[in-house]
Amino acid sequence: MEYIFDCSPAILLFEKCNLRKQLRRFSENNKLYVPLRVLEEYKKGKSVKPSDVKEFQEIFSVTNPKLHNDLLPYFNFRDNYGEIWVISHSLAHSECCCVIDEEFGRAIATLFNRKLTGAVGIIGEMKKQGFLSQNDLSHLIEDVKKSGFFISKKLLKVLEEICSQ
Amino acid sequence: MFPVRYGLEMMSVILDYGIDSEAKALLLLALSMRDRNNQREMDKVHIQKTIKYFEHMQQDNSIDFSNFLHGGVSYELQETLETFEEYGLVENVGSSRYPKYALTEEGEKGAEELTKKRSEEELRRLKFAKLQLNDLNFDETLFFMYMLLPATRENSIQFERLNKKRKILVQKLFLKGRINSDIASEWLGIDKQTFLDSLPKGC
Repeated sequence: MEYIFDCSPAILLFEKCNLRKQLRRFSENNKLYVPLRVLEEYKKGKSVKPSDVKEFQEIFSVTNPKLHNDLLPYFNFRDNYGEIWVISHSLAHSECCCVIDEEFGRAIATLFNRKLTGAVGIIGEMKKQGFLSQNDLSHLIEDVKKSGFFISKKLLKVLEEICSQ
Repeated sequence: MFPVRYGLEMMSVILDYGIDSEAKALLLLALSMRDRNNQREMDKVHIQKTIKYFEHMQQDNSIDFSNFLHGGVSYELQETLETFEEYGLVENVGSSRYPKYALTEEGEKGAEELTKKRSEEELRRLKFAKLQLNDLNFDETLFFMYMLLPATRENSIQFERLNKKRKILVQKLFLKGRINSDIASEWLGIDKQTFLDSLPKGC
């Protein structure tokens, strides 16, 4: 399976939940992409070191998709948002699934009939493919809660179900 | 009824009711689409703002909007709504005090005909505009439009009041998925992490 990540799910899994080793193994079975715009945003992180950037790029292949102009009006004619590049890539590669957490981008991906999941969906998939141990799962809920990323009560419940099964 | 082979169209709501302007066509199409609550009816404010949003997305000024007390408003659209109500294409399904408009059976037929004449992308944009606005309350809708189109604040009697509630309105719009965290932090003039940290927990 191919996935293209928006900024928040990539940072949540790679940085905040520190699933680097698990993501690396997951990336051996699946193709994981980030648009250049997302890599640039990740690099801006206050505590991000060059070694983190190197590791990030070893897991996520960086792609520079051609902007799909039909998307611009949905983003108020601005191209500086991660989601517009994620959806542009998936419009050129229909087999590639968008990984977007924020509802705004998810709604647009849905309108364009894109394959869509989020960080919680990726955690579920990693578990299904055997890349998350019981020990990993036991820490995940707390890590997600402490991450500073917004996650709805509903989605947190889904995550709890994944982690408890 | 004349067969199509004679070059004359079969019975057509578009022809019968003279749906010959962008305002008329967009009004029927907007009312035919469903919002996030699966509702199709719209009040006057949401009709005006949805079509204004669509025109902005299209970068088109076919409909004349002016910046009045509640932001961008089109008298042409208002007149069209009244005319369609008289024709029986649209009906008030709300109250006389808080009218809400829906298509009649005849209006549905007109919308179906119009749908066939529009591109997939035009229909998607109009759908998006309705999904973005129709289930927002009055303050959220106006604030969203003032932020999206700052020029519409000219002559506004609402923006100053709404701007005092800016933080809570931006949070609500984000939590309802109408803006992303980048836009939210831009509108509040703070960095993205500060915005995310400010959100109420357990929503």
